[in-house]
Amino acid sequence: MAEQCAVIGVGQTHHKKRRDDVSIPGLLREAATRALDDAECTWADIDAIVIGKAPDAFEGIVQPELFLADALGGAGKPMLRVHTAGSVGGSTFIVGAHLVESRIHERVLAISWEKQSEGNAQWGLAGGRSRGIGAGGAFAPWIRAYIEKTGAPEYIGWQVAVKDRLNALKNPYAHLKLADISIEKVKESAMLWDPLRFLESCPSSDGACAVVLTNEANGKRASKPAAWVAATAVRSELGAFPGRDPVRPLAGVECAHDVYRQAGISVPRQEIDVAELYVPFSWYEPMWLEGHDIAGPGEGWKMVESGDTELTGSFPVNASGGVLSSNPIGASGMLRFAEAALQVRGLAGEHQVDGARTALAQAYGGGAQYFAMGILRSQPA
Amino acid sequence: MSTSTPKENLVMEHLVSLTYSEELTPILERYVDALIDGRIVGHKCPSCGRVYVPGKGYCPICVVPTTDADEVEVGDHGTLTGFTIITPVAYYGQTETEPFVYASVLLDGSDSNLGGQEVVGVPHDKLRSGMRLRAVWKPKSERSAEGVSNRGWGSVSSVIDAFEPSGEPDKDRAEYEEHIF
Repeated sequence: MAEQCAVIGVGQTHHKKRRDDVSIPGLLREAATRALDDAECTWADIDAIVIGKAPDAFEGIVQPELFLADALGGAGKPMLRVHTAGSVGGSTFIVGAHLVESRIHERVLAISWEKQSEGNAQWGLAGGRSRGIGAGGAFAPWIRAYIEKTGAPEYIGWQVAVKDRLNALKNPYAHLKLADISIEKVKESAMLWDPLRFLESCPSSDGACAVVLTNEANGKRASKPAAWVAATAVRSELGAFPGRDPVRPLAGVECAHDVYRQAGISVPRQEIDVAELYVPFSWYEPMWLEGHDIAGPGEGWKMVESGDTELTGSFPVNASGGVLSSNPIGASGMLRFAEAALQVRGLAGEHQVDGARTALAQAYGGGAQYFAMGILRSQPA
Repeated sequence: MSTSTPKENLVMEHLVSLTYSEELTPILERYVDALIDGRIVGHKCPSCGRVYVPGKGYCPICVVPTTDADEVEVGDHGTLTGFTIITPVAYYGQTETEPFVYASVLLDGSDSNLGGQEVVGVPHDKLRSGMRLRAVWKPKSERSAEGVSNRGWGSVSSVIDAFEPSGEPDKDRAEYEEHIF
């Protein structure tokens, strides 16, 4: 039987548009130091490092893990780079967890980051060519297809945009602090990628996230409560092929079913207390609720409409403010796992969901084709 | 130690460019030659019959190779399967300044759609999925292989300027449902 993996340390930076106060190594070190402090560990306790970020073209530094090794105490230690586009933070967490579960390492530091201000993601995504569409342009046609298919009213996207920004006000690390956010403001913001408006889209952020992962014995010995990794799964599919459903990609459906099965969950909506889903554009909240079989077909937007996904609702989604409030791309997926861990540890502070014992973390990337998901629990199996 | 007031951080924008040319794969060379000639060709999977434009050299669903012998010509009329209107963001190399259409077009006889196509001759608010379109070809003398790369960028932009309404009746969603990717 596999070793049980515990999350004993969580650290993240204050995410901002520009973190001119730190270098890239300094940004990572800020998150890593917080994670080590939370885990009551030192650099010497770490056996291996797993690092992830979105495409190197975003900052224009090829294989940045090489120059970051020193700052992460990686000299002489195994260090592994993970690369799965936007889902990379989730995949990096999962690779780290597997190193513990397989008993290859006792304590692993998993870390992911992006410093968008030092590069140009729009340029990177466009391959330097004109007619770049940004990430929103790639997803907008599928969002239109979702709306056409389900008949969801246009205000659903606005509602998600407001909810996540209100949650972000309770998260000290969140980038966007839009105290005066309202449905009216979202509705009147500029149209970027029809039907997506400016305030329905994620910001560009500088930021990093780190976790300390360890085995069952160390998890039980830790003075603060640990989060227990009950399930992890990754799935991918081609970004385009005849018969592909980009609104509800099969890879996402199968990835979700895999984590539910591993965690013994048969009715996700009832058995999961809180979910951190990768929602960079407002409509992805209802789309993933359906795409991961939390809501039935055409029912996801109704969960949004009724307020079920609010912080105090029956199925809170993105209590942290989510990707819509902070988007250091490479770190955004790991932040879902880190925030899910904070929830089940009871350490989420002002955005804590009362009594959260089982949390779902999800990240996706590429053309909605790479998925990384996990279930975190307050108790070991 | 300096006691002067702190200055704003100095940020230097520095562009580094690298220009290179690449050999196209033999399949893409045939594809480009045909495009310049005014024909759009793809590969038909010998196993499932799906047609990919341009040919990939394999069918990703059946996982079987395809060759020149599997080459077929597809139409230059097609169906709009999905779209958005992009408000361009400025970055180095971006030449667009006004909102533009970004549409997927399923050519008649093809199973893989052409992404990122411009649609002209119809107001943005009149665009709809299922709409029938036809290619607006560049004059033969202006067609080139520019922009065609082994990484799949700009697959027709150097020969086809845009698509425009063909006037044929719309297709039902069921007819293109599997091709909205």
